[in-house]
Amino acid sequence: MAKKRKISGSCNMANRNKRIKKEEEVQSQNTGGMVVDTYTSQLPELVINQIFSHLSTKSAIRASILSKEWASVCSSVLILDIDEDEGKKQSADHRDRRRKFLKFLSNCLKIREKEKYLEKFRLRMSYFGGDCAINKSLSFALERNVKELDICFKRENEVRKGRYYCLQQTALNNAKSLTILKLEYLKIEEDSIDTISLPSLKTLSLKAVKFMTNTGFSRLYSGCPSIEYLSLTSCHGWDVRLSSLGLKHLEILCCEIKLKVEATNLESFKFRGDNGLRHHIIDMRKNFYIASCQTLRSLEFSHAHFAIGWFKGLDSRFPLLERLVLHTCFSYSGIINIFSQHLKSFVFHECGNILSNFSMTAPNLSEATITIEERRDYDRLRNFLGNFDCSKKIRLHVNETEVCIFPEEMRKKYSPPLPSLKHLEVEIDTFTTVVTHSALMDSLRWMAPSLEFLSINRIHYIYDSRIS
Amino acid sequence: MSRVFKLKSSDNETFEVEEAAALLSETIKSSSSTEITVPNVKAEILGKVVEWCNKHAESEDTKDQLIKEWDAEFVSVDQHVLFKLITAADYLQIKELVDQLTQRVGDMIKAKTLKTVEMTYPTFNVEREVQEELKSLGF
Repeated sequence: MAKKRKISGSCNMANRNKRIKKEEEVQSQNTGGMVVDTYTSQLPELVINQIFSHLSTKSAIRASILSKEWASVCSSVLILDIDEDEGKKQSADHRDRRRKFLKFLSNCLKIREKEKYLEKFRLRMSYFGGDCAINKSLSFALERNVKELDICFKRENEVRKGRYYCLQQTALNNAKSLTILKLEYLKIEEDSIDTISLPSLKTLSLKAVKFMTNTGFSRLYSGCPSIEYLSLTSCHGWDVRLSSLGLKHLEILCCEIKLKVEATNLESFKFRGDNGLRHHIIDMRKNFYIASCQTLRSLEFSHAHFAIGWFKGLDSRFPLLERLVLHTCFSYSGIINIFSQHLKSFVFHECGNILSNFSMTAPNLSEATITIEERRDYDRLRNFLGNFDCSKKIRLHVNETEVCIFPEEMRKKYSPPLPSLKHLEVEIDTFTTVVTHSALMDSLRWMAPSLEFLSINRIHYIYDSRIS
Repeated sequence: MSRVFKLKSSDNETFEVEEAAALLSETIKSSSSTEITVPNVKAEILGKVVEWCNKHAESEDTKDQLIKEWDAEFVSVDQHVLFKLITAADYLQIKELVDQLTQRVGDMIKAKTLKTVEMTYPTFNVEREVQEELKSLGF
């Protein structure tokens, strides 16, 4: 039985439940067959709170009318999570919908007015002017020492034109309790006098954010000494220099910027080098620098162009590298030789010209995930696959069966690419009816003669129970 | 030399867990002994928790797409098992696992409340409900 809690407005729950019952000509106390309720009462309070903190405000309101217990949990979970898109569209007129949404937002704030603290405030809506309501909700959250702030102004099809909400830096100046800040599609108006200070901020995520000056981001970043996780998406024109010692995870996606990373305690780095919008690869040759980093464990590149020799000395620059991802990358007609002692996981997704100029020596590789989307020169494919023979496990993902069917003449002439491989998982997107299952099996058996485990689209063909 | 921990379920089955996986649990971390009994948690459930720890000890980067897929499958269990897993993970203080499980329950509650409210209270309207609430609070 859950402990009784003293909560402001708890008597209103009883009133509210009575009222709804009258309106609906009532119903029994049960939660409509929702067995979940009997389980939640057996869990510790903190855990129940955690469960309910994942609910949006609208879901929480619905949950509240279904059970007294849930109603009291919902009112003690100090979260406001309001998304304009949630729920059925009440009316066809978008102006009417907007008005109703702003009214709902304002009402939600009023209900929580007496609360002194707020854990999380998330707002997602489209921007059509009407700063007043937004400013009010922001100050409401910040006055209550909110820890997580997530403001997203959604855009249709990520169009960059259109008005941007302007967030005053001064609004954030005293946010000492803020640990997570996520902003999307807005402008930040910097204060020329005061520098911003967010001493507790650990996670910063900016998407399509604009500053008034070129140094805006740098100044914001330098006011965040505790930052551990930074993500920048579709931010352009900045000079991003990151040398803080606390930074552990960095993501730079679709940004046209100058990037210099000297954060020597970095553990993971994810980079996407295309423009998102026009699918054109950003030329980062002169503007991309990442220092050698003794702590880096995971490197992920997608849609990036590599300068010749970028991978040289990978092992000495990133001695702890365990995971490497190359997704749709290109090399300026250079040869890629990757040598890595600690590499455990390698993910490769269809990379154009790299296939022919690629070699990898990773003696401790546990898992290699290879995705090939085009039918290739089988000779090149054989050479490429040979790089992963030492791996404990290979997952091969192809779009059509033909990719895996090595021609018979080839099989007679050449030795298999994966003589030592024991574990192979194959995923095929479209099974072409022309190819027989036995032709596929023949080719795979030639490719990896020592297989002890084989599965094709999650169906096991060989399974040796000795292997764990 | 990594230590091996022994976890005992309430029905007396013992699971051997390597140090890296075992230390994902705060309870184990702060325990002075390498033999821990987990009360009220049967072998079937404890085994699953151990499986999660082993998987997560292998790969430290929780933002890895492959692990995310594995995790998503891991939590897609029937609610009966889900709640038992939460109890076990909470006792063992494995923050990341509790987070994933509670997120899953949250998602289930979200979906179910939507359906149930639509069925049981068909004229229910969230916006109007909030207005009524305000009125009763005296606004």
